[in-house]
Amino acid sequence: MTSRRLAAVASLALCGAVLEPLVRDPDDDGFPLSTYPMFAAPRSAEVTLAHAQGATRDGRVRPLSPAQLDTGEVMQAFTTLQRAVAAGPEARAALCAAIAGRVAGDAALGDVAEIRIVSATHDAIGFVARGAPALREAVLVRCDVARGAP
Amino acid sequence: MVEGRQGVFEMTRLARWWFAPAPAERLAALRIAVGAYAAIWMVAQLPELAGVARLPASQLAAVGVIGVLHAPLPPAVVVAIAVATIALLLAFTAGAGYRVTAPLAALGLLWTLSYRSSWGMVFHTENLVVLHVIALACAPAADAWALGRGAGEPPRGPGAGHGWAVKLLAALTSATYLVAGIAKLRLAGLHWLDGDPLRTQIAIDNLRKALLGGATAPLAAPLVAHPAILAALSIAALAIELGAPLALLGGRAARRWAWAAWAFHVGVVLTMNVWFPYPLTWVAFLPLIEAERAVAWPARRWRRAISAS
Repeated sequence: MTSRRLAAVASLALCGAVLEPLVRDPDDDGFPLSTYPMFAAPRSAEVTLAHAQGATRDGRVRPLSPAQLDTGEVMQAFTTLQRAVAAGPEARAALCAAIAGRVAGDAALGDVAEIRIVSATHDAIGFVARGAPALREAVLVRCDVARGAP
Repeated sequence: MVEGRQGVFEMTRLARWWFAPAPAERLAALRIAVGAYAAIWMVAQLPELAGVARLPASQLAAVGVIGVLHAPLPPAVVVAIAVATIALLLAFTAGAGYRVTAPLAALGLLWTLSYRSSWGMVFHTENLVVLHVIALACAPAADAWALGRGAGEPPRGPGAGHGWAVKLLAALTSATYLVAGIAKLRLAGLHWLDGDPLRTQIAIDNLRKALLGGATAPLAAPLVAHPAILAALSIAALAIELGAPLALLGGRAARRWAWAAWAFHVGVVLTMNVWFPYPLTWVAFLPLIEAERAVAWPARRWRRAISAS
């Protein structure tokens, strides 16, 4: 009988915990008890996002992967960038230098001479549906990729 | 008085349903499938975990149990806890020393995956597996198919049986989808059904991936260009999420709902390239079916290997 009571308590506690986010602010997310706000809130299609670019000496832009931000996850890379940009010039410069350090050790990006952290405003629907370019773009910070002498 | 009696009757009926017997092998099958998934997932996440452990302390945004920390842990400690958790999850899966290893494995998994989600990005792909491991750790899930337990040995314990724990896992699966569905109504209301919020979410998600060097989803461009289809998909997605409690009916209703939810996740891959491996591999839905059948073949191999040794 006692064990039935314990089983009931465990069941109620776990089910109650998973349903508790329903009485929380929907934007107050947690883990593993989530309000699941992702993909739920309506958003404007015009968004401003920070991203990192590599630039060669002749001005060509080379795309960088999340690995240059020390992660395999696009969303973690995104978060790291946005948080550094929001934190101000010092954090931006530190992140730029860290990316440059990783690019310096990447033979596939051997022609990249400069790293730029860029803030770009896009119409996301136009970009995905028609490949529309950024509406506005600004370089927030740039730093050189220092490589040892060959 | 009559109302009181009616309430007691309903409670008794609910208790009878919740505690309806299920074979020990069903719960054991769930332990094996969920434990093996969690162990493999943890191994796969080790490099990622080592990466976030090196992020600057200023980026720590503690969620859940990580709230007890005032500063990040040294990376070596983070990795050591993760490795110990993998070892505990292997013991959990095998059912070895279950009363000790299972709660420790659940604690280690909760800690490690909460730590990974404490750097500004909450990984919702990992919520349900953590909840399932915690639920299994509270249950007599090593009464069958467990290392060190002889065939035909009677259950160690409780009078509550095994059915309640299977129901609990099913309820947790169902509840997470229900909460996600209600979140859409709370944040967007019925506007979510016209397809516009989904269209914008798909577009923003794919834009982010394109800018950050990730792969975009194959159906993003055609669907964003055809909003009418997205309205239908929005209605279907919300119906699946709000219809999750139907899965608790068991039988055909549960199987149909599980396949619908699985198709929903395939749709998320095709439109956003967001992967939820736990439901995509069907492990999340095993509590809704006769799980012992699904894992019978590897379990037979396992028993043969144990008896041979």
